[in-house]
Amino acid sequence: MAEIVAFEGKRNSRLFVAWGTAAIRDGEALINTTRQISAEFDPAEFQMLVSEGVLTELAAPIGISEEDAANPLVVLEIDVAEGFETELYLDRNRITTVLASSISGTRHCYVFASHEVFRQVANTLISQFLHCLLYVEKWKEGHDQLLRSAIALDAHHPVVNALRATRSKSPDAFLPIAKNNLRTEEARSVFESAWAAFTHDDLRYVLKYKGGLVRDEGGIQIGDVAKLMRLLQSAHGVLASSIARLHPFLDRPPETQLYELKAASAEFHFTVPPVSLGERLARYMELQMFEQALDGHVPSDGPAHPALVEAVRQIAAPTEETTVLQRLGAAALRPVRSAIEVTDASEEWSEPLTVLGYQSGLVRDTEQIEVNLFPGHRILVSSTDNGSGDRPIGLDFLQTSRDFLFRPALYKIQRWRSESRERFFLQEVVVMQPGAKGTATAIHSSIVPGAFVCNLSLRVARKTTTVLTFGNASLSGVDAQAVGDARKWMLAFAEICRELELTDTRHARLVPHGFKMPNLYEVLWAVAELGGKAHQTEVVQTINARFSKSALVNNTRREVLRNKALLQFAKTDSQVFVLTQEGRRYLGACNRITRRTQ
Amino acid sequence: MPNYRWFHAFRRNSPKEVLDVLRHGPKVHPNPKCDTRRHKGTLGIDPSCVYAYLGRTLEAFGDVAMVLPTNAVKGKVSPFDTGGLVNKIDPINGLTEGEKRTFLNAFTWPISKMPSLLQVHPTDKKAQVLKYLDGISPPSAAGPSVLWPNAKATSAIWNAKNDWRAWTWEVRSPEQVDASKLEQWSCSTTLYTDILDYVDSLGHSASWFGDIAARYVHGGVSDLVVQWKARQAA
Repeated sequence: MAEIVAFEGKRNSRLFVAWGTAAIRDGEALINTTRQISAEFDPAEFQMLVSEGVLTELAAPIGISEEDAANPLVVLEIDVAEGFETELYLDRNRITTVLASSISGTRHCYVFASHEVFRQVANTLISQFLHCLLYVEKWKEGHDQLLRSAIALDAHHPVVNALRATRSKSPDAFLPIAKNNLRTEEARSVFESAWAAFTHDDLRYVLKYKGGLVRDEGGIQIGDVAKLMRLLQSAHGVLASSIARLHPFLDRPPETQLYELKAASAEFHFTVPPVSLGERLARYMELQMFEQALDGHVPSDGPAHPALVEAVRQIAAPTEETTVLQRLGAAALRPVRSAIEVTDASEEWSEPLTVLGYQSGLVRDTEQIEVNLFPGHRILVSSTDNGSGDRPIGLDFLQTSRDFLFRPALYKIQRWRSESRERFFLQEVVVMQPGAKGTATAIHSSIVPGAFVCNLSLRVARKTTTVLTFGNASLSGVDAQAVGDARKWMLAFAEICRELELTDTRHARLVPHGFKMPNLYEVLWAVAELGGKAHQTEVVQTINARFSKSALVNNTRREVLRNKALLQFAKTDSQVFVLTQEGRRYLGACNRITRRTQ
Repeated sequence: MPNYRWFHAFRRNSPKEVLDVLRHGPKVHPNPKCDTRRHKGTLGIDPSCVYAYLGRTLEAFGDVAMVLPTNAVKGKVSPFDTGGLVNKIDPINGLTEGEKRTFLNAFTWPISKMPSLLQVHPTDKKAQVLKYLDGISPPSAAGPSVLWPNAKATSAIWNAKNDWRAWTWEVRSPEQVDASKLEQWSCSTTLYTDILDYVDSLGHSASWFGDIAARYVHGGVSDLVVQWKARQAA
């Protein structure tokens, strides 16, 4: 077995985290896992690299399998400092992508399969750090360390950069540097919001009416004002949920604050009070979102919520004769641009899918629930909105039961997608109590991560406390009370799904946004094309010619190591790949998917 | 033709020194006792030079790496890491100092010859270019003496005992390299936080750093090399 002995980069006592490409010692070789380049392991040279800060040596080596060692591994080290245990805690129940780990004193080390997987985890940690930093009452030295740690995890994060600039000794001088750390237009937009929320004094949003509702002599009737306030309250509920969902480091913003009412000129002034940075940002972003809604743009994280559409429609055009103007911050008053557009040509709803899974968590005071549908695939769904603004059916147990986690249940979900986003909405949940029966219409795909095999009709029944039947197969241990036990039956369930998917490949698939067949498919296809057995160089050339890629031998061999049931090295020559019978079946299913989706 | 870049990796003792290199360009290592300068003495390279490698670099050469276009560096080139000749590259490491110098001189050309040299190694065949960028040994020859027989030196350095350093193109520039052409750079993520703190302490006088920050790639030297592999092959 190989051992991770170090990672690229230098530990820094002014930070709580350090991370980098893993360095593996495998016998007499030292391997850089990102580049899969090895050199002879020379203890003296290794110590020199450590002392020069090129590598950080782990307190104790972490053993890793040959299969995992073929990945571009990343090591994250967290020094769990006193006073920041919550922020620096990596919840293994929620983060299931840790390949290996070790603890030495206060230092916790985690290994991830790639930079991409690491980035997702880094984002979760940054959210934990930011939640602390944005809502802290008294800033201490440790908070500077936490902010630096966030930068070390992602130097391009917009809110981290805005906060770093705010905390600068010379914010105006640091501002252009922070902006230069941003890499996308979306990041720049979030940065501007955060910078304004953290530093500007006037964050006032003004809504002004002219003509129509407004009396000729000036003023506005109290009934119209009351109605307007109710509509604003209604919009707030939807927008606040969007803010919390889009920015997990922010709490749901409190109710919109009316600061000034100029009745004679029918002007309503809303403001962001001088509270914590987190609340200021959440409130300011909500006002921005409201301003955009009055210009016809709904929050982009889901379909237009009916309550929001109706509220905005009435606020933006209470009568035909009324002109509505708005401004945010120092901008000048201007007419609202248009009523909200309910339908977007790119929007699309899937057919409802009824899938087996279990609930693994509650998020934001029960506003969202986390559902596990397959090993490594969880979705967050709203417990208050089924996509039409109504509460999903069957969620009463959240209020009446304390043991709602890990119980097998049938989830009826629907996918909403627009040009750039997708989101699942829960329609109904049926907890599979002993004696319960139901029908699943979809299973998670074993071939394409995040995809579903649809149009099925599989009987599901919980015959006893511990056993559940799914089609013709049985699952035991479904009375799990803990995440580890629930994962066990989910793994067994995944095997059943895989067999179902490979046995009959005719069914339709619902594939995720930006869907791309995994690299494994290309290797399987190339080996099959070359007669089921081929030298690795030929395989790589065939892939590159067919898929216009620049695949490399190392990456291609990695797929063989990872998928031993589908591909094997020839016994006589380890540079020759052989397609197994299972591999042929798998490729058949893959071909079916590509034909259906291309 | 591939979009090759020169990679220069270095290490310095403070954020200020790192920024000095990124801002004004790499120049000869300030410490005469550093490995690079000692090796050059052995090989008789005079004057001391700045070193860069075509297509990639090694994190062991430094925790900061710069990516430069091919026209940003002037000097002489060789199809191996000259530092490696001293004690890494088999069998040259076992030769006398005089023999090492002879070998180096036989495979040294002015950088102006680079387009024609690349036609010979790694050639412009896509598969060969990918192998070169991936650090895999050239399959076609036992060493540069096979590809350039007129060089009057023979040595099979492209063998299984050696690594990437035995077949990488290296440029040695006696002049300070032009940093205005810096395309991207990276360093360890912890060092970057120190750099930001240092820049912050300079206040308005550090406005020049904005342009350097815009070229920073988060993730470290290895990640920078991997990201550029695909871009160079395209």
